Amino acid sequence: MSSYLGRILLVDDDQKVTRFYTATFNRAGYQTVAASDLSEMRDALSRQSYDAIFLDLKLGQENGLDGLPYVLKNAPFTKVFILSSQNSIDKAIECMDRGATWYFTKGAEPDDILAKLSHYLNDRPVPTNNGMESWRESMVGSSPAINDTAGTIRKLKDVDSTVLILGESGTGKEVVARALHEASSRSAGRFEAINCGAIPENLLESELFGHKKGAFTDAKQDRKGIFELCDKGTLLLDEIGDMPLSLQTKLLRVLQEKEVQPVGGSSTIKIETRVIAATHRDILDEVKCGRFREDLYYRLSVIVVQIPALRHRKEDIPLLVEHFIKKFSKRFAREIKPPGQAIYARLMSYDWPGNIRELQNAIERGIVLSSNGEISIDDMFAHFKVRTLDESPDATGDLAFLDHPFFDLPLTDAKQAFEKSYIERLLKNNKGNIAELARKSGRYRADLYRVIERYGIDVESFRQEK
Amino acid sequence: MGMTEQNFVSRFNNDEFYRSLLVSFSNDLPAVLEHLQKFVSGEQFAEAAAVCHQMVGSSATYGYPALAGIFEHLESVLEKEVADHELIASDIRMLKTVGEKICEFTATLAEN
Repeated sequence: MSSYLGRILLVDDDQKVTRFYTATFNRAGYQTVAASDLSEMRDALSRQSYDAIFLDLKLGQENGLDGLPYVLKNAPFTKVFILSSQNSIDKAIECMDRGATWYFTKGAEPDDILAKLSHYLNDRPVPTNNGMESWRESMVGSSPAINDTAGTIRKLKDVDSTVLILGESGTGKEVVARALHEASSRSAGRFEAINCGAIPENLLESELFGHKKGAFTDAKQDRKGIFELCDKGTLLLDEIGDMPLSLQTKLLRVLQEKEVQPVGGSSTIKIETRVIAATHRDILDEVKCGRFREDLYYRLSVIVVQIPALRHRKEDIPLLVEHFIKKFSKRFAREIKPPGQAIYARLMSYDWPGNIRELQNAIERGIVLSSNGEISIDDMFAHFKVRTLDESPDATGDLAFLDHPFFDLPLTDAKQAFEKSYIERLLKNNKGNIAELARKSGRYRADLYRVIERYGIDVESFRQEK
Repeated sequence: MGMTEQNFVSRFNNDEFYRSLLVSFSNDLPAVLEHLQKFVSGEQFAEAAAVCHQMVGSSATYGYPALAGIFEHLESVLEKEVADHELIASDIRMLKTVGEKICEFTATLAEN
């Protein structure tokens, strides 16, 4: 097999097609995972980072293009290639307008696909001529807090110490980890990210350290783990606070000995992988409660980088707003005027508990709902109107609807506001259980995922509610 | 019509790896056509069209553009409001003929 080139997610409901391309990509040096629908695609993306996704347009009853917004929002570093049997220039243009990198028709020469893939994966952004390091440009902002973080990255770029990134959800921990990799002498090597909280315990060990053929029922051949795949590169262990205790012991040994032992193997493999760990949890509290090993904490926290919450760097909000308007105007092909002072004042007065991710969602919503080329506070905060209804549904009885701002909206907008409210109410009542939501609403899960994506509903927050 | 030894060589350079994939594809083909025939006989045209749609993609992927073309035509026929039984039967006959040729061809690949 060739040297490792990257990780690919293949989304297609036809096993004959996934078998062909999995073999083709693997043979060329990629590690390929197949998903048969959008739900499996989302699960795979929540577990680890992918360099590229090959997405079919017709996935049974689902439209593959409906998965594109999710990828663009949740895996912004992943390139999306459409692989479809539809030989249509209009469709190709539509897909690329919506954010796909390239459009292939099934039947294209495998070598041409591999060449194009390699071209786009090695295509690094051209630095703008503003004297700023390219990795610094990915960290939007000029506040003292973000400048401090950038200063720490500069100090760390030539050392190999383990780094622990702490920060609330939505602050951009992966962006900082990637910046650390890009700034370092390892930048020519691989960057991989794995979500320790999203992978079942029995699979996580194999994902991290690899396995030997026959180690367990599905181990039909030797497989390298992520530590070995990004040897001489950087590995982000995201949500390290959620790693099972049994694996914490093994991870500690890997960090100490700098070698891994594949599952079912008897010998060890030397690795030179730089480890960056990240968590949104209060990790010291996890240590105190006995859920996280103290010795592993000290091993990981040689250097701690604390990412500031957005409320502590509000002076960056205008730059972030500008950045997101540019991004979404392009994606949705809308001309959006720069917001006025009054809008900025309102945005600055809010505390953004969901941090940059929440601001990004608000701007996206503002642009999508805008009908006159301007973004409005009402559109950006439309979800709050709905939440107000949600919080006291019974206090005033059903007649509360009569006073609801639905009635100030055009009918189409009111229907959408109600739909969002309805979904959120059911998610709240069912603690974010999608299967239950599908049953109660009488809709297919795939449809519901589309609605959830459209309104930027954070399902996870309902699962965490006590 | 369909795959010939010559375009197999030009497309996949007579590669052992692709050879095994092609053999596996053609081994599955008779069952797919039988499945399709059952859907058509039961007038389950939406299901039959879905099978055709998948086969358009996989036939093209495996280097059988002519086969993909017939499946694509049949898919469009099956999606019409009024079923054209004659056209459907003619496409299925053509698929069987091409399918047999593909199986014969891959049998020679498997032997070599």
